[in-house]
Amino acid sequence: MKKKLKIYSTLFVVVLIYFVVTNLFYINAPSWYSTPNDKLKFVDCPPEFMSRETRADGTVITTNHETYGYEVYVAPKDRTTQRSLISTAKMSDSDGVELQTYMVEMQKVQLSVPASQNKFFNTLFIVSVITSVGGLIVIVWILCLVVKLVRRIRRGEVFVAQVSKYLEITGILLTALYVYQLIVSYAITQYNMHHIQLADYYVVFKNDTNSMYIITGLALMIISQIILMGKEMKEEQELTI
Amino acid sequence: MSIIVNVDVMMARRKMSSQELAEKIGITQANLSILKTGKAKAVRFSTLEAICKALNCQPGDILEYKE
Repeated sequence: MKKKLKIYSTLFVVVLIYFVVTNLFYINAPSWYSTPNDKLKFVDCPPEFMSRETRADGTVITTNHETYGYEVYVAPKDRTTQRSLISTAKMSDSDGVELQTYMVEMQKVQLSVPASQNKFFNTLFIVSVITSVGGLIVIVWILCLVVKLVRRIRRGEVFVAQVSKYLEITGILLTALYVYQLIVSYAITQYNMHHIQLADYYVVFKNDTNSMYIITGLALMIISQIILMGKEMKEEQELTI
Repeated sequence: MSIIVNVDVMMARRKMSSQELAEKIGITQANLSILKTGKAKAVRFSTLEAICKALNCQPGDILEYKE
């Protein structure tokens, strides 16, 4: 029991640190937009999926082909020109030039994939259906467990083994759901990398799975072990003569 | 557990019933049964004192350690 508690709490702390560190990174990001000239130099849409025509009077006509909307994360291939300002150093170097730090940032873009590419979408459709059905089954299972849990608690049975078991299973299911979605998301990105060829960008993987699943899951697993400890203490108290 | 409770032995020696002992030491018969069957996790000093007083014995007569 204590071994499990140690494992769960260590995992919880590691996951929490990971999310705090990655979120801190993105919290600092909006400062880019204070200097409009240093905005990301991405084009609006990759040229493969859109045609542009410049008229004699200089106006640009943009035509979107018949497409399906499809979102992917991309990063520019040319990292020297396509970059964004993330911070400006206060210090100046010996030549009096203000030092600046640049980084390349991923961006989510709406791709317009030609409607003729049915095969590409068929595979993704099957994967998304399987993912949705799997997710639905897990969520229904979790709801059943929560109903059982609430019934027990309403009867005043808090520090009992069943409550701990329900909480632990719910936590494991939530964590498994997160891992499952992460794996599917990664697999789809790998699929995209092979099927989407862009002129100036790479398709990249970004973890946009809802982090609340794993955080809540691990927290429930820890609570389940605490309830088990409470149950032991309660039994000890009851069996003290 | 390697601590053996010999309350039933002392009760037999003193020819005292469970009900009588429970009344004398102020606990329920159910709790006395837990104590006698060795299911108890702990014994309060006040309970031990009351048992010793009722059975006119020493704590060592009631509790025994076996490996």
